[in-house]
Amino acid sequence: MNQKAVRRGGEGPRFDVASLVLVAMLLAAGFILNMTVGKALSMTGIQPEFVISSYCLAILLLRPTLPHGVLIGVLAATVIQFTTSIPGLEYVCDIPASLLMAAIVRLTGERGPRGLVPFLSTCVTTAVSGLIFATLATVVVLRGEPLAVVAMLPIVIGTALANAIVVQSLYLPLRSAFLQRLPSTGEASGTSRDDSDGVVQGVRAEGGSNESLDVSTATTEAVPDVYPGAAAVELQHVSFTYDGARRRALDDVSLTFGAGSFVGVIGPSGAGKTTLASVVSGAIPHHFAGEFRGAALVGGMDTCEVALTDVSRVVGSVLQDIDAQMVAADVEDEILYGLENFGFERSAIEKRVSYALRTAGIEDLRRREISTLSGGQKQKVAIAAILAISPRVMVLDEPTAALDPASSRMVFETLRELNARGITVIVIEQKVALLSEYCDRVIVLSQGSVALDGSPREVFSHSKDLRDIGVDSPRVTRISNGLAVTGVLDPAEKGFLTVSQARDGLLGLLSSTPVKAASHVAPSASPHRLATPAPAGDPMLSLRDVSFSYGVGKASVDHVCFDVGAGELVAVVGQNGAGKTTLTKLMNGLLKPGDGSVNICGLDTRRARTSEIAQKVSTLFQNPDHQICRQTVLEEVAFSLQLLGVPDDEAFQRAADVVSYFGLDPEAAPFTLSRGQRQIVALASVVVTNPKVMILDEPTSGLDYRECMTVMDSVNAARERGCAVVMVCHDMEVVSDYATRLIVMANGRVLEDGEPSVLFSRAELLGKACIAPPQVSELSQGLADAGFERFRGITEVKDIVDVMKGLVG
Amino acid sequence: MAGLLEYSEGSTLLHRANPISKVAFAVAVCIATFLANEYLTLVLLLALVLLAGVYAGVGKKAVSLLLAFSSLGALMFLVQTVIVRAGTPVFLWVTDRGADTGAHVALRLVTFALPLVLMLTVTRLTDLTNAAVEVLHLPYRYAFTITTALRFVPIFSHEMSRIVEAQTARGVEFDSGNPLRKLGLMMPLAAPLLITSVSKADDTALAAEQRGFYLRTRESSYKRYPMATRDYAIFSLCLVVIVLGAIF
Repeated sequence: MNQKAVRRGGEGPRFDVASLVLVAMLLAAGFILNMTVGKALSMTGIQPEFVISSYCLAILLLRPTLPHGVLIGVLAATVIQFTTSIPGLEYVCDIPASLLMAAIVRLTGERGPRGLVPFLSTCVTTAVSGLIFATLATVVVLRGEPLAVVAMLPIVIGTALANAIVVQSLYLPLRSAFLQRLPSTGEASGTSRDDSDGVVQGVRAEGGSNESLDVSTATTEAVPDVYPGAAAVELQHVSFTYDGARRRALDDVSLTFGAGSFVGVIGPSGAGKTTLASVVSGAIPHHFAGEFRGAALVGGMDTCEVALTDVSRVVGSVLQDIDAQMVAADVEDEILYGLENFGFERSAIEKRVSYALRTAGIEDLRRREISTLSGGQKQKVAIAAILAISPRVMVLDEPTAALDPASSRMVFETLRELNARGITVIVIEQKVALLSEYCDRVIVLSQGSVALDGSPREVFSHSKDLRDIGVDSPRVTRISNGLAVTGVLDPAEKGFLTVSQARDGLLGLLSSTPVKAASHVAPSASPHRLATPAPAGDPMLSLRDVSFSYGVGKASVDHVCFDVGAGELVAVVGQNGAGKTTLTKLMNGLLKPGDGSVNICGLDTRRARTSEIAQKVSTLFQNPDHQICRQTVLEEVAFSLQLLGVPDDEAFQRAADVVSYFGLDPEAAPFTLSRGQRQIVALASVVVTNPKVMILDEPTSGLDYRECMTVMDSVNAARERGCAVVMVCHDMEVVSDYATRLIVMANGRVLEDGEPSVLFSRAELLGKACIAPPQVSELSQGLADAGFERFRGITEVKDIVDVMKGLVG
Repeated sequence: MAGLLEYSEGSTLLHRANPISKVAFAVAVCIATFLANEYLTLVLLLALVLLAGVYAGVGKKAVSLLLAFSSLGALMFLVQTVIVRAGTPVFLWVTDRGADTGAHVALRLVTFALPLVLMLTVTRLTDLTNAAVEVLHLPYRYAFTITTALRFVPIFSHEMSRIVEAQTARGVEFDSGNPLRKLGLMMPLAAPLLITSVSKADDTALAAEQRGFYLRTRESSYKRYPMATRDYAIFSLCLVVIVLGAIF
């Protein structure tokens, strides 16, 4: 048993690619803030100069040496240069300023900037920069009268003070976010940099891999076999603990991934799935600091003994954060990047680029800017970029988390295409239905170790164990499991993975066994769904003939008319572009209707201010990071109340109650929590205001099974208190479980408005709206159409099982 | 200044020229503007730049920029006339020396402001940074930092809209006039974006590393930016411009 412990860490931050990227990101953010927030904060022409604040923050966080401090100034000046006019002036201003800032920060010594240091240093730095600018611009450049500089002094001082306030307020939260990045504080990448001197030799020495770089032959199409016969990836008793963590993220995991397999990995959040992906891709141990035991063999190489780039030559990795994993601004450059760096022959590069684009199905996107693409297209670009260097293994960490069902399916189709060409695909996903359809093997992780491992049929037959672990199983598989209990079928053999398998399987059973005449079973409602209270009084939310258009000619929302009463949960479904998001913005007052009226508890949104509307309506957005702005969970939740004018002590009291209800740690910094936990914090901020109307925009995207349940259960609790809920959701299973009413939209119009179980059985309606029905509805519809009327309108797994038992068992 | 410059497509000589020579041209015009004394020289320089813009197909943009800068120039003119009081009064507080200084300043401002912006509209920023690496021997890692910053601008712009929406829906008021309230706006708006940027930094760095960031050398780039005849022609023009500026 290989008990190698590899410990990295201990040194201070170094100025490596991670530092440079941090500077880049802060500068970009500063740039955008200048254009947006700057205008809002401007008072008599004085506003913060956010790019200067950004580089001040960068220097405070990174504490660079003086030369590196100057470098940051140069980089900042270059970014500003792209928007201001006088060439060179920014450099003269910002180089001394950044030098000064770096010097001040260095003077604070080992302990780093504390107390008012951010305020004072930024004030001085901005003032220096501003003064140099004013003087040079007026006197030297324009050759005007020196006294004009005095006229600019108030602006310079005002900006310096504004910047100082900005930096002082933001320094501590940013510092937590910066330190919290579990991964590197630079030293790990220092290791890979040392290794990279060996890489060039490493690649050449391993003759096999060098041949695969020369691609005049047909190897462009097939995957080069560097170590024939070796398993694609093998983990031998791998354990890993992140630096500073108490618990092992992976605990004695031994897995072998055969070449050419398509493996799905599922598990609740915190189970170690991302850690597993990082181990396979080499990010652990090369990028993330911590204690690593055991061995990870990739294509026969031990990942600890080769450089990161050697591993990524064999294993391509796609992350959940679609934007962060790109390196270039347009598609072609993105695909060229790896090819250029890994030393491919120039003559082969063009062929590889076309091959990659063709396989991913995005040839027409070649010259496009990545920022103009949709989420699904971007993921395909990421896949194509990796494909170009012919990896043997592809690891994907929740690639479809932010995508709608159609795009998700598109991504999986591309993965199937890759798998057909011999590439081993390892994909981490929460979407069990897709995994069961595409994967030939499923691994379930729980608390750092492998809980279940086998074919989808084998794994999903353990519905109860999976639920205990916190993982969902596909509805149709639950049906076959339910029938297996009665002995009607053997799930390991004939378990249903897709709706068509279920239909064929059930029809097969029904035709082979004599059918008993059974009494009709009334379809039951979902156990999750509360009974809709009888409508009492006026509707909470009322849309009357509402139309809205973003531009000329194209109506985003067209003559929409419906009411929502207290206690209802209305789900709005439709494909991307149907107008769902626009509708939610009309409902919470972010947009005012062009025609018609939106009425919320008596407030007409056209006349009321958004802050007034916020008293009645709370919105839970898809991405909690768009609203989290406070240092602790308690402050964040209380902030929602403070915005509504609730006095501070009451706000904090109510917030404390809600925070403990959700089991959150009130003193934790929100941005150090996991994605699912942050969504719960956002949910807490919504619930605490006791809204009359709650709007949910994709509330369950990116969450695991238990987190979904937490969110939806508290939504139900709000409904019981009389809240009206409108939910936009792509996940038809959630809709089927919780919605009391369904509104189907397409092209800005409401196609239908009614009972979910009824609407889900109408295939032409769903076709027009381009949405796929929930599995059970599709199945029951199929069975009813085949002549078995008893199944019509059924939406619950339990009912299908009961009817089958009644007919056959 | 408006946001990041939009690249306008084209295949003129100017479009096809090496990005470095285009920037050199802009710098040369600025140096000449700095050195020039006569009105005529300044006007000629301005005309040269506008001509280049029209040739490259961005004439309309050049004119609109010119108008935008002119208003700034007018402001500077006023400020200078207020300050420079020497000489004989011509109109209200304006003296002839004041008007002269003011006019020079205004003209200089406009001529300074235009060339670089115009050159950047006919140059792809990624081409510029790549050419800087190849021709000027800029270390690749710094070019990468610049392109990353520029690449994230549209992404963060999108994020910012979402942040503003989310916070507005919560009740954050943007229209209050109270200065203290205005400052209170800053956290809900600036904090999420900055925190997001810090959080994304590590994933981006990891991706770059995995794709071979540390392996890259000056010769790695597939796209090349050789200097051609047209570039040498532009450099000669630069020299002429500077000399003319120095003399007149």
